[in-house]
Amino acid sequence: MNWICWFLVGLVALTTVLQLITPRLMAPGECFSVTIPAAQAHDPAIKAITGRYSLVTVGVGVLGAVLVGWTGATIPLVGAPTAGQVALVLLGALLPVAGSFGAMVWARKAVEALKIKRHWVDAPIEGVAVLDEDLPRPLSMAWDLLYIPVLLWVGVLCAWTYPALPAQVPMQMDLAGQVSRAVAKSPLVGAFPLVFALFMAAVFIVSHWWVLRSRLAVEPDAPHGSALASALFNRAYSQVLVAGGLVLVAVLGTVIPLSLAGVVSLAQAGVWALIVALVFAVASVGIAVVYGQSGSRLVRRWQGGQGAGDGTRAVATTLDGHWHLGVFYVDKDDGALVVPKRFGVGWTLNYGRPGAWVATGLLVLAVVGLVAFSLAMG
Amino acid sequence: MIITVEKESTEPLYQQLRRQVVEAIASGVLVAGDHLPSVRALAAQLGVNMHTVHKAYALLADEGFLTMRGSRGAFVADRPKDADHGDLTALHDALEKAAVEWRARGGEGPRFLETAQAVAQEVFSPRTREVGVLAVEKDAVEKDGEAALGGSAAPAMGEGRA
Repeated sequence: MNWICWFLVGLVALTTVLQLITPRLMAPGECFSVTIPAAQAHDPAIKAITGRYSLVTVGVGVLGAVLVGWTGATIPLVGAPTAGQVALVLLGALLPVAGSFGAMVWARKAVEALKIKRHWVDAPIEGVAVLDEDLPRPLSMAWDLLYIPVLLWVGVLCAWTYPALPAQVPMQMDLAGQVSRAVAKSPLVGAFPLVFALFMAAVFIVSHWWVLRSRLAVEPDAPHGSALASALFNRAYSQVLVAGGLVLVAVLGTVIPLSLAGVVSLAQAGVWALIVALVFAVASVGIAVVYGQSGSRLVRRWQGGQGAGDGTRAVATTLDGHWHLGVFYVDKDDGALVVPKRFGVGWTLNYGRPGAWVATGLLVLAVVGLVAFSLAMG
Repeated sequence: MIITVEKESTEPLYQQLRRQVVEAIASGVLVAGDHLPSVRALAAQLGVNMHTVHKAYALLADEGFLTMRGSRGAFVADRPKDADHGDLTALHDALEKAAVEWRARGGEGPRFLETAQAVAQEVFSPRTREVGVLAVEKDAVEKDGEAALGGSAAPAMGEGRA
């Protein structure tokens, strides 16, 4: 297998591992997006459901990796891959995500049924706010001003390298390292690295803003500790977002114009991009493993591994019914735009608020705009 | 300070919020000049509509407990040095209403006075109010996370205090 195959297989493996550990990163009172009594997190039936989810996740992960690896090995070193090969690689890459999601939806239904069977009842839904000025705060948006010198540097580099661009600018290479796609030199091509850096910076800035706007995951049964853990998680995540985003934009914004001008090869640029992306991914996964979703693992450690509360009441701040398919949150009476995920690490939008639809629309427009810009280059 | 609202309670959400802010001021947990979260931030954290928080803040401002300073948000107002006539009238009316309802249900006068005195002692006891919620809980969290995390170790405002 060539290095691209290994990279793709590694990507599928990383995705599978993330999906596999996700149930263990959640608060003990949240099981596949369903609230259960925290003290019942080790119920044998819950363990059996988690086991089946894990089995399916590993199964589709291995299948995806084999598909990607096998297809990747058949791609010729010289020349572009066929449409069929690209489709198979995409299928292999998406299979673990889709399969694991399907398993989660099944597990959610199973936990809901178990909740009824065991007579676990929902405690009254409570909203909890901890008004403490001393809680750790995420990095402020002022840090994002650092993108200005970085983007200025990318702009200057684009202008500086533009005269050195060849008549046919290399944009894509085959597995043998030979250029397989080139476009005619134009101001649009020269500006591509800056547009790409702007897009990346915008994504990181919006993600940072999400962290600042998100509500803390405060557990009604342990408000002080969960608020502190959630605040620590938010701060750590904001640090990785700001530092990782700045480094990623700076590195990509430097190596792309240099590769277009032929100062470095496309392969060298790709290796740099992969290294930075890998460091960023490892840091993100590290936070997830150390803190857990919204600091839930911290809370569990502080509690000595025992969940708070009694054995029959499921304590929650949002209704199970507001979580569609376990991942889409819709509550028009909730003032929050950004809320912690019930399944997964990070945040999601409250689609009961118009702002969530506007934000999603803007993201789609930005992606479409970037693709349109790439096509306009020729 | 912790604010907890029960979303399915018969008590309206804005009243729950108002009551807890008033209790926090009475107990000394909130003092004059303290800054409260913005309407948007508190609504997002509590998972309630922004109108709910706005209504509670507006009511508290009308009652003189908060001052609204435009975009800077809500602050706890200074306490008047002496209760004015309006405050005493409101107090008289509230006591009268409670006494009348108590009597209408067949309650006796001495029992009413005994209960009113106990409530007043609880509310005006400086030791109970100043030590019970924040000082102990906050120190516990800072020094030892476990101490504040044990089940219901952190009572919400409005619940029983030591």
